Amino acid sequence: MRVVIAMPAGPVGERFEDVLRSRGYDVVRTVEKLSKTGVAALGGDLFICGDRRALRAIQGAGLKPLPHVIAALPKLDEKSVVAALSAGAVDLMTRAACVSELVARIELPGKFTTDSETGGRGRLRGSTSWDKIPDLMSTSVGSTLGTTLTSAPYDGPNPEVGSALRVTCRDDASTVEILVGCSNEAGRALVRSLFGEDGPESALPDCLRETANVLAGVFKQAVMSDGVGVTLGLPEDCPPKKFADAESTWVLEGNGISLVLGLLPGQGGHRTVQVQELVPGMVLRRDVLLNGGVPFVRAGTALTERTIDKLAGVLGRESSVSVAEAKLEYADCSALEDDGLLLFEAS
Amino acid sequence: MSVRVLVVDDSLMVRTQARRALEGAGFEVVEAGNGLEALERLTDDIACVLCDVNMPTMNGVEFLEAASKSGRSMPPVLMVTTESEASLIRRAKALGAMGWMLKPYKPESLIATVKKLATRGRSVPRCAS
Repeated sequence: MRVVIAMPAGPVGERFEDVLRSRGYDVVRTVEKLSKTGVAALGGDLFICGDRRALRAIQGAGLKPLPHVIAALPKLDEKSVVAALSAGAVDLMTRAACVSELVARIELPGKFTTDSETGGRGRLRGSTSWDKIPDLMSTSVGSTLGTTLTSAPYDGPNPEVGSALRVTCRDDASTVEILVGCSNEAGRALVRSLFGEDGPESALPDCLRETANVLAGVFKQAVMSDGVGVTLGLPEDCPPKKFADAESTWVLEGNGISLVLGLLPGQGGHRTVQVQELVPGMVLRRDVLLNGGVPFVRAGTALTERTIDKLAGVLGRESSVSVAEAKLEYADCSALEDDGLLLFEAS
Repeated sequence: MSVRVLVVDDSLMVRTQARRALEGAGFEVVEAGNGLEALERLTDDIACVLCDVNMPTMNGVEFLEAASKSGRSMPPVLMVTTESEASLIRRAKALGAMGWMLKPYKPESLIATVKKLATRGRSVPRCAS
């Protein structure tokens, strides 16, 4: 989150800047009189303003989405409060605000921000298995259809029929939809290959759903071997336009069959928690800096008990940090042999 | 008399592929689209059940639970699924499943496994509550 401090030169703005930098915020401080164009150039998710002129400049800049604006006033008398709110402030504090009040007010809008707004993609998208997906998919689909398929990136038109299956990460509720589709003509070829010349055309949606099911199983094995536990949904028919939203699409071709595959990541994956709620294994998403901008704990660090204690000492137990969930250990895929078969002893 | 196998899967494509493979090897195939239908078609002459896990209406694990609670003897059940989680496998085993096969499978592997399981015979009821 970028915080812009627009206050006249002086110790108050300087103190706010130091405090926020030490907590890892991206801080821009300006002591110049703020204009509409100046606001647009600075950007910023949150503004701390010391005067009404700055408030009006922000209001007039037409930023979208509208930033959260805090007025830092010399005193909170009725006249000053009304004037600040009228000029566009959504929160108020005195310039003498203590560190904990400043941090609480800065973090207030974040508490109402969903992951979809912060752009989190979650552990599924972060899985290192993501890049292996095209190969895994071509092998598994080829095996299902009893033929050899080659995969290639696809940027053609949307398929005419499709199926989707949602995979949900148990740790952070992030999702990925696995899409499978084809043209009507390719669909007829697919049905013929599976059911023979007189195969019913009505079997195509079922073929696509089952293909999505197989792909989801392969995807699940891959991400679980990375320590990401997931739950599979049931495959459903999906509108072709969904393929346009997919992050990656491939085409699998061979033996007259042509299937378009897509991966459509949903949102989720990180959240803001208080230091007292941290548990070992959680991964920091932003640097935590000491006063003066010295790095204390880097983004990407998997937290230990010791690191959490240190953070509590520096930030306080009620400060908030953004984290990804702890990686869980799953030994779950090891139960099956390479041929995918496990027979139990007869009891 | 041919050996009867109950294939339980919500996908017509999967049932058709299994039917082709098994009938080609001399088995007789009975189909069910979910666990509930499987319970209805689970007659005494079924020698082996191939059962998917993720299905609407009644999934494969729920089918095992219901069959176990019914108190009747069960033919060997092979779970045939895209799921590979150890917790699910353990649960299915505890409920009386005899094996777990990952989709996609090779037809010859399916036939060999069904032949092996069909010779094991029916289990005694585990729970009649």
